[in-house]
Amino acid sequence: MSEPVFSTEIKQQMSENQRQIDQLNEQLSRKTDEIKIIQTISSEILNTLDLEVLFGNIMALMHEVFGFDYCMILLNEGSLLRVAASHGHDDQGLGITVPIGKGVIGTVAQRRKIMRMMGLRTRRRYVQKVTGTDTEALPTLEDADSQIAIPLQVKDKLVGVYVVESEKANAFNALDEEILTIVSNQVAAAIDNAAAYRELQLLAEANSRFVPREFLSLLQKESITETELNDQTEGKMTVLFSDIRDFTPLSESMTPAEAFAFVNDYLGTMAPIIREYGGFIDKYIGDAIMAIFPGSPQDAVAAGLKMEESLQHFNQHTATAGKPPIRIGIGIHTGQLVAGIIGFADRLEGTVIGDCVNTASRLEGATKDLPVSLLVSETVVEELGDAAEYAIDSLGEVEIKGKKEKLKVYGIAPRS
Amino acid sequence: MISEELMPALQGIVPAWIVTTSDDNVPNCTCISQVYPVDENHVALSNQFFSKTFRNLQSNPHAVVQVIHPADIGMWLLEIEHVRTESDGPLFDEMDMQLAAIASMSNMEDVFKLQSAYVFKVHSVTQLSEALHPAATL
Repeated sequence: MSEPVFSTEIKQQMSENQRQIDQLNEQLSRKTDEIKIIQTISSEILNTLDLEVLFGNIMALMHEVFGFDYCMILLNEGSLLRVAASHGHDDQGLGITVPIGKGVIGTVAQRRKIMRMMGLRTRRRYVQKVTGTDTEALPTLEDADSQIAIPLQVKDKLVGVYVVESEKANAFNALDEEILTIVSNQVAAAIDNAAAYRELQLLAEANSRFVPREFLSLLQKESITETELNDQTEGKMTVLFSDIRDFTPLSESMTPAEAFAFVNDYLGTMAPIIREYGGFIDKYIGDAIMAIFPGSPQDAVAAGLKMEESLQHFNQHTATAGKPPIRIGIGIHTGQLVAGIIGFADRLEGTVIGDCVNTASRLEGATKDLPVSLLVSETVVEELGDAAEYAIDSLGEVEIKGKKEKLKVYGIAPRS
Repeated sequence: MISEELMPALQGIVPAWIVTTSDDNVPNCTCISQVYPVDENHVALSNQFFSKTFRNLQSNPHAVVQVIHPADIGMWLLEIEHVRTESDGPLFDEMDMQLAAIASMSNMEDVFKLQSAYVFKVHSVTQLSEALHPAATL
């Protein structure tokens, strides 16, 4: 009767083998799933530098792929975390802050470890009963009873905290924790990249206010980081100079702060006109503007006339504040210019240099002694073509400081 | 010994009860907030205050805990034995972190400090219904 015993043993062994095979298959299938998740996330979902798009993608991923209904991303701001994105919450709670070290979210940020907390309501009640104090309301689902919070880290840097919540007491298990652990590094890196990119864009935008984009494109540069000392380009361009007449006595009647505000008001009116007509501002010299028009001189003339028109509105506006009206002078000249980077080592500046700049500046100065406020050179008039829309007045010749020959000048006004 | 099925009862959702005995065999029953799962054969309790329970465990390491499954309010009895006490390491950190998270909501993080984690070997796990009516399971 030994045979049946033998066969039972074999059966048992086979059944045990099958169990092990099933177990291994299950583990393998789980690993394959994990790899699939990681691939999908990195290739499609996190592949954007737009922070808002990224937040949307992460929330959709958590909801659609993993089935988490209530999620939040809080970003680290030093001593506190701020809700930057949320999904599923009635009141989205954007902007709400959590101090580092407070509650589940704050503690996860402080200790840099994932936490899965169930039965939140019971636990809070327990502490309330024991201590006789109220627990503080934190930016969670009104009735959150389960939370998983995971630190989003890039190397040693805490980018933020990702939170998944549920109103059910026992909503999450170890597998949920594992899934979040798998994706959190990639999510953190993607957020960090997008945030860095946004910072870079803001920086580039700030830079472009100091060195105009148009100036860089003259030098055929994409970014200010590419520029070097001695970079230069030469070409025919038009220079426009404008200045407030008798600003010094006017400014003496104001406090320095008032004068500052006045100049900024004035420049705020004039500067957009330069851009509107295809020019860019090379520099401000106090209340004076030096602008470059790389295109036709007609652009500069149209801009100059528009500036005079806007000055009327500006004066009407300041009159209501009891200020006297101001007058401006504008000089325009066209010629060869070199645009380039000047300076030395750690203090560089982009500027344009050329005889044409001096001439435009002198033309502007000459409006003081002439009955016009917009004065242009003969070169400009020649380039205006038929210019039927302008009334062009020859005002004879003026002496230009540092020049042997006198310069023919013209006053320009819109043809009424 | 600790099955997946039992796990939800070890998440602190419903408070648990523990029975210990003193060195002169007087039983003591008290409510505890959570029995932590450690591994298949171990659970842990947090020692925050010096209570009678922990004094009793010094003389008799054997205890019984009753945990409640949040889904069906099913009660389970665990016969456990205190085998070691940890005051650092991953288990201690995890328990301490959970305590800090809740306590900090009431600004009590300095009061509610984990002194140590008591680790117990689990000798048996029984549903209360089985324990009361062993014949019914035959």
